[in-house]
Amino acid sequence: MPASGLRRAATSLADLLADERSRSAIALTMALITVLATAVAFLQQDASIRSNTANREAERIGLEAVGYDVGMIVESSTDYGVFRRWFEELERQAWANQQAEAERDTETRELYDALAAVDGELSEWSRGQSRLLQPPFFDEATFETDFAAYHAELVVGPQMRAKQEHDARLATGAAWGSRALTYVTILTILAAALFFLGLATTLRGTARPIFAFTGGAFAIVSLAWTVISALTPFAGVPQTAIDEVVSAYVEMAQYDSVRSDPIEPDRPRYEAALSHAEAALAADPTYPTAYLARAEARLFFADRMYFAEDGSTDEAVGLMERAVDDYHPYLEDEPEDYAAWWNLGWAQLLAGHHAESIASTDRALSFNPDHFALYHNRALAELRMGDEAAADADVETALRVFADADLDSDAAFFVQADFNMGRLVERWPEQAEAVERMQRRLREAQVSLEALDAPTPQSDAPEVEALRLTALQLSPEGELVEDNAVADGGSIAGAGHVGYRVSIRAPGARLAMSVSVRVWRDGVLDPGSSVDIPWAADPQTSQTLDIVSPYGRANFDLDPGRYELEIYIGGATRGSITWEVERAG
Amino acid sequence: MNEDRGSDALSIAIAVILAALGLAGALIAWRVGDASNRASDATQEGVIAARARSAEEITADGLVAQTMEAWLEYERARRRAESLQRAGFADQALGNAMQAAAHWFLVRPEYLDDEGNYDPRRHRESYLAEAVTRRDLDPTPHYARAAAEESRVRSLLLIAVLLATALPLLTMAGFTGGRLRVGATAIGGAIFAVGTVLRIVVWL
Repeated sequence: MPASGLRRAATSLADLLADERSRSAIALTMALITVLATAVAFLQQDASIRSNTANREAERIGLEAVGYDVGMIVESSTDYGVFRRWFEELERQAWANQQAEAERDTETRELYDALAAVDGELSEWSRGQSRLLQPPFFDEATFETDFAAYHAELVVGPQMRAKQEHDARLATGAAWGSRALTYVTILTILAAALFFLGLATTLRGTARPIFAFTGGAFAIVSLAWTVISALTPFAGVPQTAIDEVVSAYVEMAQYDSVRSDPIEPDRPRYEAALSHAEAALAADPTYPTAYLARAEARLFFADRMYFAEDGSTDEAVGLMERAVDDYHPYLEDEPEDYAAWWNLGWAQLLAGHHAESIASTDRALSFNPDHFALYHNRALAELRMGDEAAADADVETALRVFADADLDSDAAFFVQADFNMGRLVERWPEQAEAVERMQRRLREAQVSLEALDAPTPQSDAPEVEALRLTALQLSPEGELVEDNAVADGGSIAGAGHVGYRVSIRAPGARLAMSVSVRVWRDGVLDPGSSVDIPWAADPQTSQTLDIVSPYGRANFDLDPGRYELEIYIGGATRGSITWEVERAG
Repeated sequence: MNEDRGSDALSIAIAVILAALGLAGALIAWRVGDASNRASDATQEGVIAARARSAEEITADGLVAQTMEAWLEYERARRRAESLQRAGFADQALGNAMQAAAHWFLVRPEYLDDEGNYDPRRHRESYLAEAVTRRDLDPTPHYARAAAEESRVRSLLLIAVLLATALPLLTMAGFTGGRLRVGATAIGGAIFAVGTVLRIVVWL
């Protein structure tokens, strides 16, 4: 029955289309399709214009951002320049006051007094010339400047805002562009509909209803698609979401950058950053950067917490897990963001997901194979999985990349990796020995690269027979004079000491052989204390060298903290001393 | 006979309006293409002007920074010289005045206010105002022109949609008869007339 019903329907349609009236109906349909095609053409042009407008706006924002960035670099350079001059005036004033106090000659003392007064006036005047010396960045009570807040609000915030607004406009442009393409497709289908209907008017018999029906079906599909496309709302990223993401990054930029400092003072910043990221997600649950902001708010705080002495490993791991959850939706949308893959791999490593960490790091490496830190991270994950051979191989690759790529950022990542390994020795007791070995390899490679221009120490480096460290004072005549010796594991007072004299006895040393000293304070390498010199002493006597910073030369006391000094000869570790500098008072 | 003549006249009118519709569509398509090109050119000119402005702003920032540095050093030495002179140390004051003089050649006195303070904003604005006389640095009129042409494209296409609605009416008039035929032709003709007037308004 259904088959005969279909046959009857086809026959009826053929009859209906067979006569002259059917031609008229087809012609009318074609006319209506032409109207629809014209309307679609209008919608296509409209979408295209909207796309152009959004792209134009993105270009404007991009150019303005470049202008702002350059302007800000120049302005902040002036602000810092004034800050330096202010500091200089304070130091001059302090010096003039000291001299006046010690001076017996009245006329000379009057000159010192006048100089102190002038410097005082000038320091006051300087304060009006720099934003670093004015609220909200300057605390009148403590006379301290919040450099991080200055950088966050005047550099990070505007940069992030420009990037987000630029990206949002580009996304709008792309969405309208895509819609314009959809209308082009619809126009093509309408052209096909007209083609079939046109053929139907010239054909007879059963071919006519088939072509007429096909043309009509194409037209109906086009109409439906047009209506759906035109009525589908396009929601760009709301400004509130962008504002919240910017605020989150402004907070994050003020996390303490000193890795060894206590973590708890950063907690309010972390909570504020998290709250802003969550507000951004509430405003737009599909905004990928809001997921990234929440992931980074958690990861950066958790990372500091994991390595800080007062941090809770359990809490840090919990935060890492949640950061990992946020990286996934972000990376679905931005799969080529190598930095996000890098951070995801790091979060997975510290959260204990070692295989996943290696996979994420591999993704980052596929986009950027020249980053030493990525191989180092993978080596740590391999170490945690018990594959020491793979870890050693990755450390060597990391060092080769470090030597070949010559990225400026690698030096900073080296300092970070070195600090992390120092803490991981405590956090990962099962791998402590292997981590210590890895750290030593990296340190020797870094020294060898600086001193010998090769990542491997000299194999014939002589042993150090005696290593002596003495605290230095600055005499009233401006001479550096030795005070008490610093014992390994001992402590000295910071007050009154300005630096150290290192005395090395290595009978096997040859003239011009490289001697290097590196100093760490609270686990962080102090680049200002690094010394690389050629061995210049008689091998039977001692080679001495002084480690005195510009602050020490100006008679500033040593900073308190836990210190570690290592001696390298020909790039090979040949001795170390650890000591504590006590806080004054 | 009269009825036949009337029918023939209507047929001719339908054919003429349909032909005119085709011509109008072609003209609109040409004008849309032309307006789109103009919009694209204006956008490009706007981008070039915006990039030129950005480059001039960077130059201005560099110049202002250089002047600011010189003024800070000059002013510090000058103030020190004045204070030491007041305190009766003329030789020290002279030394500082000489030091101040070393920085003066880079200071732009025209941008110092009555109290001797350097006004970087005025210097920057002045530089940019001068730069405008050398190059086109303002993207706004170009973007406005692009927006106007884009608006014209939209309007022309809307008129095209309006004109297209005459097509089914005239098609219907082609195969119907009586009052329906006359009515459809009249409405189709009226739409064509309105569309043509609007097209002329938007065209100009």
